[in-house]
Amino acid sequence: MHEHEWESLVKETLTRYADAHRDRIATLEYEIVEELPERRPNPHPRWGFALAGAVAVAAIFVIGLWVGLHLSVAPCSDPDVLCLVYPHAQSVSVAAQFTLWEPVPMNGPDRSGVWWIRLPQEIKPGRYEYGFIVDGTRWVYDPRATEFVHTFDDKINSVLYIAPRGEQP
Amino acid sequence: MGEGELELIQRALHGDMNAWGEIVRRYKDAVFGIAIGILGNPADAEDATHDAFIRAYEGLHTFHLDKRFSTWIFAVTANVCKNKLRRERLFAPLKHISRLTKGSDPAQQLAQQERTQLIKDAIDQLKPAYRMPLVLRYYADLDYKEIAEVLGLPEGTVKTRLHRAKAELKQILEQKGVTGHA
Repeated sequence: MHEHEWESLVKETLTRYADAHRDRIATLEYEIVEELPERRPNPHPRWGFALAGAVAVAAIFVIGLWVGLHLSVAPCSDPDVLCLVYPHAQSVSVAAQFTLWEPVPMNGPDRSGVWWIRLPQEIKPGRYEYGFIVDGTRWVYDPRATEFVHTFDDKINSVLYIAPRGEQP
Repeated sequence: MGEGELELIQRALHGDMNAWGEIVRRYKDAVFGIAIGILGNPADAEDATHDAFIRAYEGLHTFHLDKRFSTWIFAVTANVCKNKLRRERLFAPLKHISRLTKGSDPAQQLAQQERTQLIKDAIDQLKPAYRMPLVLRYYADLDYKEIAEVLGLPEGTVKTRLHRAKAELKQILEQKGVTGHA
């Protein structure tokens, strides 16, 4: 079988199979719209406030970066902070279920080569899988985690638990 | 990003449900196609499609407006499917395909149905790590870079997995005597 024939067969099969069951989602948009009023996007910024907030965050970030580079040590004893020791990395991000697996850049490195990020306050209590992405490509688990998951795509995710406010994790 | 799509997303961010409904209407076929390809089961794909749009709405503030929305919603979909597979250990191949496209010749239609079933079974036999890039490549028409972005993998890994997926699939199909001719 030629390559293009083979590819056409796969494409045709997937398309025909999806088409055959498409009536299952015929009214999906109406169902979603009915269900969503209780679930507004969070946070829900007005753009003016968002811009002002972004400027403030940028200013804090620049000051924090300077302080981070020159003076401070990563606050890894804080339970709300994720840390990873990786002195030679150019960049480290965290990707987690609570970020919808979007990479979020971490601060650092500090003088000891530690990268860190504070967990957002608005995360709801629950169990979350996460991992670090070093230099944009390498998936690294958190050696400080107490629970791990072996994923179907041969990665290891770390697990953290967010306790309700006022309770110890 | 399609015409008016950015405006729809901004309206949805401000709580306009109808704007999000329009986004759902535009993307539901693609999202469902990816979900059914990965999960191999229409009922689970329906649930995953629903969950993907709810989760996407709840996390819409994390979407960068200068990026492609399709890549982002496909990434949300792939994650919902991955979690579903992980949770339910759901690898059962589908046994029947119903309501296939009608053909004029019943014999030809039957042969086509059988071949489609064989290929679908073969795709379902692949490991999820191989099946996901395959579906994104051949159903959603994404290139390597986009698949890498959707699955959160390096581009090289995507190429390798697609290569292995194709090799395995070819082997399975050849064992079953499937050829490229209708």
